[in-house]
Amino acid sequence: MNEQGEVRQPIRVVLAEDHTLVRQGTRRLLEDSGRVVVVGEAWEGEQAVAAVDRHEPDIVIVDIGLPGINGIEATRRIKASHPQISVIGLTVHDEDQYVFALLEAGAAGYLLKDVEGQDLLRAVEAVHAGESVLHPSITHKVLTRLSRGAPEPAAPTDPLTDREHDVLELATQGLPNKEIAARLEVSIRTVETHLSRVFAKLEVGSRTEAVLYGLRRGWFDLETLEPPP
Amino acid sequence: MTTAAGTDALPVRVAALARNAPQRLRERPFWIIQAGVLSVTALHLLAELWGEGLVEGVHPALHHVPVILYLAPIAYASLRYGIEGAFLTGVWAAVLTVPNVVIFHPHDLEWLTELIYVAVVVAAGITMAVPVERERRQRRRAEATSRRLTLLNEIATLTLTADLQHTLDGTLASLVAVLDLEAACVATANPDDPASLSPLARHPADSGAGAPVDLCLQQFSPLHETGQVLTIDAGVIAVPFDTDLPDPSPSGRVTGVLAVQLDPARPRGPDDHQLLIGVANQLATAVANARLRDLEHDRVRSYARLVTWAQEEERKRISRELHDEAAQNLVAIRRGLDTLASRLDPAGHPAELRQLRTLTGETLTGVRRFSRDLRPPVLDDLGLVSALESLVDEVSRRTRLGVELAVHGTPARVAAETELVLFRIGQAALHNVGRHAEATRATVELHFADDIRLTITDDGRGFAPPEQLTQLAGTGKLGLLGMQERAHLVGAELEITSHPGHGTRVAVTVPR
Repeated sequence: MNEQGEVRQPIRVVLAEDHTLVRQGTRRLLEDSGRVVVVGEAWEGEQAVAAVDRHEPDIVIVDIGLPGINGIEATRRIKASHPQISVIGLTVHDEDQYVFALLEAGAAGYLLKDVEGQDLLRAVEAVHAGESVLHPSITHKVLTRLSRGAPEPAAPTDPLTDREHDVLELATQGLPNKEIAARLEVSIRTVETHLSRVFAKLEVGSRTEAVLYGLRRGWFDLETLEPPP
Repeated sequence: MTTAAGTDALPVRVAALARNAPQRLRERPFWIIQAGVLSVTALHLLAELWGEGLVEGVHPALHHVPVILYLAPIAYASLRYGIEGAFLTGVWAAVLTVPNVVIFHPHDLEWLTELIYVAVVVAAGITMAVPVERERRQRRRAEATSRRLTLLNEIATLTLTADLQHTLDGTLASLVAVLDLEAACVATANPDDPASLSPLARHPADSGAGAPVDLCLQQFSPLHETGQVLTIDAGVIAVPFDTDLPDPSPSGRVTGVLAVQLDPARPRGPDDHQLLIGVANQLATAVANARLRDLEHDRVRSYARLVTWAQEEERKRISRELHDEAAQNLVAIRRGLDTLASRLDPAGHPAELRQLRTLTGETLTGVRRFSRDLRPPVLDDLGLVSALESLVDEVSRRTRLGVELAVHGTPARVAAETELVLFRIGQAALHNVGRHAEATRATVELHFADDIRLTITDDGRGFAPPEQLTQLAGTGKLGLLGMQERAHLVGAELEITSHPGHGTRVAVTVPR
């Protein structure tokens, strides 16, 4: 349910996790909320890619340490064939390098496996709503690192409208949808619509990817990313 | 081949002495002998003149007396030049007497008596020389023996040192000095081509292009027998030996040779040959010992290599086990507790449940850190660059050292062993910087080109590195030695540059 009280479709999730107990526990936790339905499970990398092909979910939750191709490679393949599907990486490791690798592969977010159950649920909902799930400090680190790489050649035409650019720039600063709506003096629903159009035009599945996309094309630089006071 | 002085027939020795006349002319004893002989001859003539009445008041019989005085120069000659010297001086004295006989005793048989008289005196002189000669020969032999013993002693001391080159150089130098050689060299057969030799040492060091080395290398044949002296050429002899000790092949296969170039002016005898054979055996022992040492060193090193790999494999296994089992189970427990908590009334969360969730989280953090310390999963999952980034982050976070990572070239994944070794060297180098260098900054650089080079530079107090990294073992800097051993595991070259007060640079280069 959203804030307007209307019933929304449950978020369809594919869960790729090789540890049976963890997979079952995570599934139970997500489905107990009533807002998520796990449409497919996988315990190997290739299997995860196949499950996504078959079920075309909204969101894929991928463990990095999958047997076969690992979660990072699985993310890369999923994003290559389904750019609109968001991937959330889930791992035991807390090194930044995993975040970098996951985001470079196209993931929308990254969570440690030992997050509180409610945080995992919130992250799934946030990604689905086009919000960021990365901690601002991590976001900044990631963006700093990614911006060091040579920018990709600018797209021949900028597909976004001015309004969409405004929304994306505020999103880039890490503001929640509610705050963006307040600043632009529009409804949350409008912001969500703008963001989903932006994602569709840029062929990405999440806010994180959209920000990286814009950063790589030089639409904004790191200074503009500092959250406003 | 001539043999030692003293054993040749007299005529040979006389001829030898006469051949060296120009040299004798420069010697003082020679002129003393000449002065003596000529003085006696002059005195003899004067005595004859007196006897003829030219000089009044001398008894005619006295004119024979001076001849006896010839004994003095003859005896002196035997002392200085041996029996051949006495012989030549006697003959010379007899020749000088001839005019006297012709002038003063031409009549009757007087000349004969006079000649017999001279002959007896000369013969007496030469006879006196015989015991003198024997003494002299014994003394010379004793001296030679003493010198050889000293030489063997020196060589025995030299072979105690572990440095083969030092032993060989020292031995050849002593040998050349004691036997008055022109040059000497020692060579051993090449392991892959037993019919060819490589010189190990020469003395003098610049005698490489000289005859003994070239000849002994050309003439060498593995079919020669060990323990014998071969005359390669006039002035060059060679002694083959077998380095396959302590288990020499039954046929006495030749695996090395000692070659010497002789001074032609100095005669040689069997003693010299025995000495050369003895020295050759000592050299064979030294070479064999050095080879055994190398072999032992290789064994220790390959054992260390196996141990290192086994240790890494074990660490990897435990790390994986911790990650795949312990950590995942803790995550599952955490999930279960979360579900349990969400199903209970939010207001009524028992404190025990909260504590259990906290404890599970803390345990998971501990397990994760332990697993990462054993073997960083970043290295296996993401590769060397990410692992070094993570390492640099961690060192910067945990210590006050400012560390930067710079990657040049196009990063690429390489063999897991290579990545592991480079990572461990980087890890050990940064650990050393943190512990010993008193540095404020350190830089880790990774170059990807035809080969991969990792350098770790700091601005710390530096140190004076030994010439050989293996000497580090004695200085307690085992960390550097360990780095070198790890580098060898993947055929990498480790280079450590440091000066007191100017920081340290560790560079490791490995082919792709």
